[in-house]
Amino acid sequence: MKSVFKKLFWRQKPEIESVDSTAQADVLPSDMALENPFEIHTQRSKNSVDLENSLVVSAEPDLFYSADDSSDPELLAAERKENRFKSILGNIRFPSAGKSYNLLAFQAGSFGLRGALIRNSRHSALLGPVAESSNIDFTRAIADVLEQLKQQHKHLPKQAILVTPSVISSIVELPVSPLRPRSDEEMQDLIRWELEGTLTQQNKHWLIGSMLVERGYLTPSQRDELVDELQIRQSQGGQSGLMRFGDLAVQLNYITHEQLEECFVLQGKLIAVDDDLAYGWQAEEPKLSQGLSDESLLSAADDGDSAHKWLVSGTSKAVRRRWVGAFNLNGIRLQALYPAVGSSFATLAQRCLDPQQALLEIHQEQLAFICGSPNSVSEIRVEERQHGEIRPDEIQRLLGVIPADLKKLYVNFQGKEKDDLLFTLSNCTSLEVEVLSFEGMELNKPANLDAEALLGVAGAADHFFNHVAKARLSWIPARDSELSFWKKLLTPKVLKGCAAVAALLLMSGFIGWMHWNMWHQQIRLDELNTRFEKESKLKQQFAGIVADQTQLKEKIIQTQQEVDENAELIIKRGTDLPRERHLINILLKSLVVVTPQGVSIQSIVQTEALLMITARAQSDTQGQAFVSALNKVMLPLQYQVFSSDVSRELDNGVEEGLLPYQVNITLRHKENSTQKVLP
Amino acid sequence: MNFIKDRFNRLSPKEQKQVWVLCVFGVLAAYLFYAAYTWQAMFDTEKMANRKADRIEKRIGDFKPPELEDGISRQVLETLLTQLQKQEDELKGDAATLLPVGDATAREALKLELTQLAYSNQLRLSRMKTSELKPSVDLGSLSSVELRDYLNNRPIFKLELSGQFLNLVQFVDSLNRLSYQAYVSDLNIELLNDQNSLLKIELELRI
Repeated sequence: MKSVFKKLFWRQKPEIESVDSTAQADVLPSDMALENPFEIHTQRSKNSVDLENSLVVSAEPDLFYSADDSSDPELLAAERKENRFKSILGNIRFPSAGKSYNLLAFQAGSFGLRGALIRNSRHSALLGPVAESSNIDFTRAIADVLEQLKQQHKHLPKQAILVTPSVISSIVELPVSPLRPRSDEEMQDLIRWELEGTLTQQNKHWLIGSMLVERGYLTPSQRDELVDELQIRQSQGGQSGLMRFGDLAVQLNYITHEQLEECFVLQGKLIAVDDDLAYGWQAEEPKLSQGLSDESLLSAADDGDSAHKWLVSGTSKAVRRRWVGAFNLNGIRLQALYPAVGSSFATLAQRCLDPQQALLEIHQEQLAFICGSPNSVSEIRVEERQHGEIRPDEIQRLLGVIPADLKKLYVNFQGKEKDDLLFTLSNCTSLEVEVLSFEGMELNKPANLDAEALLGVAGAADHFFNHVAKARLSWIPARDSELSFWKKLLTPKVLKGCAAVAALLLMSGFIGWMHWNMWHQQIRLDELNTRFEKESKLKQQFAGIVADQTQLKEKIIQTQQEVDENAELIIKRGTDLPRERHLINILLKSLVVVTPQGVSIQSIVQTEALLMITARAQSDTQGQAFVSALNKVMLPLQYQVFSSDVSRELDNGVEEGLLPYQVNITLRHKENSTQKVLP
Repeated sequence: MNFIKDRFNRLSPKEQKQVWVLCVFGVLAAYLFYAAYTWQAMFDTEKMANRKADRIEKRIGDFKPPELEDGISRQVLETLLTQLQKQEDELKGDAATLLPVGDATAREALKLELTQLAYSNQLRLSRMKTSELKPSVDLGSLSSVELRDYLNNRPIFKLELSGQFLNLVQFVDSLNRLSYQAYVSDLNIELLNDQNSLLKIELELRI
């Protein structure tokens, strides 16, 4: 990991050097330019790392940050997605016994961080308790301020705005009509060209000398002395001529080495070293009551040929990200960043009703002149401030040509020599000059804090709550506008994630489907087994029943057959047998009766169904009469003549003494008459 | 975990990408193995279920409860058996009046009676032949079929006689005086001499 950190560290170094050297060589005054930017940065980097390491030991490890963005908790916290539900809950104001506040307004600078509770009244934003921290760590500074505010008010708002010199503001002319604003990307491209130069100029706020003075480690006079001493040493040449401002201050015991290192750390956090900037813009609000100007109407149709004044602001995205992360770590949602220069002009609208308003802001290193109407800012002029007392020529150079209808000049000045300043300004401008202040409002602030230092905070809060015209101040949203839902979906990262999730879902779905199908088939198999066993048993039972039935049927048939046969036998033995038993007897007796004279029976053959009688007759008439009589007699015995034949035999038979006619008679039992029996 | 993370971070981007690819392919391979195993298990289970369904279809099919015929019941059988038993008893009673088959004593006594009856009716017995003789049986142990056979297939005595016609009529008329039932089943009479009316008589007596 060390090697990776080392590589990352050495990769960043040249970028910082180039920005620092450019900023300081081009912009810094001669006294500040004596500090070698490269040496400053090298020492700062080294010392900052050492200091940060010491912080890790003494404080929470989560608050440690380094040059690596991926391990800086503030930068990481800036990417934290806000829970919307918690955000909504956090913004709900519950009724309380005391005053309730709607906003936290913070003001950052070399001095550290100060914060104020803001209550939104009907016409203006009212400042509540104010707290201050000089901690150089953003997160801890915010935590300090919140802790102090919490001692005075239990429930703190969850949203905040920040006024910081890191945000610069300027008036630029853009070929964009206020009636027809372009997309965010196009507006940012246009603003970048106009604002880049101004942004580098702003870095002088974070020079070591300025920071030492603003943090109270060095008085302005001491700084002037050090600058003079450095110039003398430079002119003399030699090794002493290469000494830097901070080292000289330490050498002369004006400051301690720790104080110098502290400023280096703070400088490293606040100087914008990247080209990636965030912008905000405001156009002059059209006065609808007066109607739109011809120029506006024309520009609405064709932007390319028109130029419009836009109040724009910009800051480094890295700085903004660090602030957002620091606020996130403290559970506060930063809403907007306001420029330190020009914020107090917004609050001037609450105090001045003149159609033409002007404000002179006197900062540690800058003089700023802002003028405009109640609805807009028409001009912002910023000049470097010369060391020492404010001189009339400085003021005149800054103001330039004063608008003719301007009657009063307001001054935002933090210092004790207000009367001298007002006198000087009055003399050199021939205008009525008045100090911009809270006009008797009692502020709950630290004792050593000048009330006028909070005018910028009040102005930004008024603007945030829409108590002044929007075009009165430009602001930068704390977060980039989020892409639309569909655009978010089409980002490569989301697409990759979606593809991975889809693949995982598909794979797990396939496995799930197989398990479900297997479970389903197992249940089906169990059901089929149960059904098979049940139906097999049933079928066996049915087969048994059928077999029993068949067997029973066979037995019944067999028994019935035997019963029938027995019955037949019994009948036979009861009826037929007696008949048969007496048949021959009766037959023989009947023959005795029916045989007439002249007929002689030759043979009788009786079989089961036939009775064949052969006889001899004297004449054919006698023979035929015998047949007829026999037939009549045999009828009760169920016999009848089946065939008869009476014929005359040859003469030789007569000669032997036999009767001449032979009678052949066949009788047959009636029950067997259908049978074909040959005679 | 941190150790692995540190080691991973120390790798070059190319090596990190290789590790990622290796891990992804490893997970994919494990998934494929598991999926293949699960697929096989699912396929086997489904196959077994289908096989069982086919077995049920073929072995059992769409079977219906059997339709039983009317009149086929134990009660009917019992009734028939009772009736059969009555018939058997009746037939056995009838059979008891007949010459016991296989009982030589009774048979020979009957033959003697026949001879004496022929002579007493002035018929001259020239020959007497017995046929369809059977071994002795116990009437009580006979089944219906055997009983019917016993009654239907009785022994036959074939007699050859000679005499007058009226003597024959008397002889036949007096057969009912024998110890056992006997009747003429077949008769063949032939006139031998017209002068004295002598007949040749062939009789089959069913005993």
